Amino acid sequence: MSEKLIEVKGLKKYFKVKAGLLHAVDDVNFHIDKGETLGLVGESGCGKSTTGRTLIRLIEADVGEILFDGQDIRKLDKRQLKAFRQNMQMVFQDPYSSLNPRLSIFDLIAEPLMNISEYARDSKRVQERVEELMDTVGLSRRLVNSYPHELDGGRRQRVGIARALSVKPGFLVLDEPVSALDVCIQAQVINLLKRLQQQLDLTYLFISHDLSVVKHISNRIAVMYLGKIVELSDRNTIFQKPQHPYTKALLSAIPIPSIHVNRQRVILKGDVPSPVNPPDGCRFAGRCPYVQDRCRKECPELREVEPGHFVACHF
Amino acid sequence: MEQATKTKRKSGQFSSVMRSLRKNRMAMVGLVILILLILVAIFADFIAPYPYDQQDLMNMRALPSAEHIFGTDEYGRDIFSRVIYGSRLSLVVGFISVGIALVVGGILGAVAGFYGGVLDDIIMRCMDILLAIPQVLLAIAIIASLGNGLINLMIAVGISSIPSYARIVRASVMTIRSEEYIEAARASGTGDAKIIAKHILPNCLAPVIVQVTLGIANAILSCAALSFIGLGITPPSPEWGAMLSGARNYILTYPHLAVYPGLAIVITVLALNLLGDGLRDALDPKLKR
Repeated sequence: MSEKLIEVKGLKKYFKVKAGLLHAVDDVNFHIDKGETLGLVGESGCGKSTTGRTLIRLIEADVGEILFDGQDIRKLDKRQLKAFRQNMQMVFQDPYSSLNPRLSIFDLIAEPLMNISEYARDSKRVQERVEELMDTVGLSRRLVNSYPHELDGGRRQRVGIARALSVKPGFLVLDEPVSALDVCIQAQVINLLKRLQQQLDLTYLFISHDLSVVKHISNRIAVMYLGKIVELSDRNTIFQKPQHPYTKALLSAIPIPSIHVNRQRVILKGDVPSPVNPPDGCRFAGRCPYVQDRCRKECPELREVEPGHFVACHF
Repeated sequence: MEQATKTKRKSGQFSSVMRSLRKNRMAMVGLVILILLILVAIFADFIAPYPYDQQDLMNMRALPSAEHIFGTDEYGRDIFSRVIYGSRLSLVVGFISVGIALVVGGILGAVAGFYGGVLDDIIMRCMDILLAIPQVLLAIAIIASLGNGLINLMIAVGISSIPSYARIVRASVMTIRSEEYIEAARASGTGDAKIIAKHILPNCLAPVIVQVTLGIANAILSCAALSFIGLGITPPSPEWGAMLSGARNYILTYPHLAVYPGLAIVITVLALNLLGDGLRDALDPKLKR
């Protein structure tokens, strides 16, 4: 067994809305080993991004523990948290709105460095570090004084990655880093992320709704539905032997570029129920083709059906 | 090789803004007019042909002539000289009272918009209270409590226009606060004050600049209104707004009394507007060529 870098226990985040409590993240448990990539998939609004943001305390969780190398980061005070930010950074979804349009590429990449006193006093070191980072992520150095609107989406996202890497974090939350890019740029960025992971010994939480992208980069995959993890396993198991009916439906929706494959599509009926005041019982009960009475009454816990494969289903 | 290219940093924000400002012809016109006005204010003693309070009772309300190029007012004082001297008071009053309103209103608005919640409610309700009192009445009350005088006049006009700046800044801060780059800044450990100063305020400059350029004209006129009822600037001192309101009795018979101070205000405001527009564009990297 490899070493656990991140361990999340009983993480909950409810938002107060007019209609009641919105259960964005509801009792989520998982861990990420050092150097691996955990893919977090699910449809829009299922709480994947909220999970990622609570992990690095951009959103404060309501309940639960987030252990980073055994230390509960939810207990850090303001100053400790500021120092701790060096260990975990985030790459955002939209490279157009995640870069301040008024700052040059240099200032953007240097921003996290400026919060570390040893760099803030030494402009030469900042300069060197920014140049080094631009080389690392494959940005040509002549762009250093450009502004974000002058770059294309792929380059912008490279700036976002360079910014996240500037303080040498061990853990990165990648919040749909490629979904705003077109397909061939997606591949470039994914390959860059994979290369960086090996070079710099990084641990990733890769949030995405695109299963083929997640399959390409992840070691293990967690599937989320309405604030809960419904299935968690290593990549191959999920794709070959999905157990949870939601995962099956999700996987059957991946387009296959061939007309010869005879596939069985699992078509789900109905819509995702509202995460505001969700009913007791299994969240998926309303749409599950195998639904039983028990599902409506009792919420299934995540249990290990075989080593390393967790499913939240009664059957 | 790309690697060998030296990455040279820009020579500073100011020079790059000036460079793009210089390419904007209208903005340069505004800047030149403004500089001229400031020079006129500084060297009024040398430019004006007569002292501003010298009366020529033989030539009351004279039409423009070689002797008095803008004519004379109801006490026979040379209007040209008064307009020249008036630039001192008017510019100082305009800039300082807007400066007070901008700094106080801007900080209050930024804090209210950024933190939201109870703090926002408290600040904005205070602004509503200020807004509920008519501006002139509020200024009268402030002058009444602080005492008469030029500085108190500027403070009074400044305070009474705080709410409009606070509202504009708050509104734009609120739209920018939810941008992803604010979250990114927070993720990289940047503190709130720095986020406001570095990320939020530069991005809400555009509406503020427009408000400032119009606000200066407004401040000049508010001062005139107050001077008219005997608060702030006292009669013999020349001030454009005060001259304008003094001339309103003669507007049908001797229009030149009102035209020249009015023109001076119009030119000042126009110059500020042109410069403000250019400045807004020059500060926006997206419009930089």
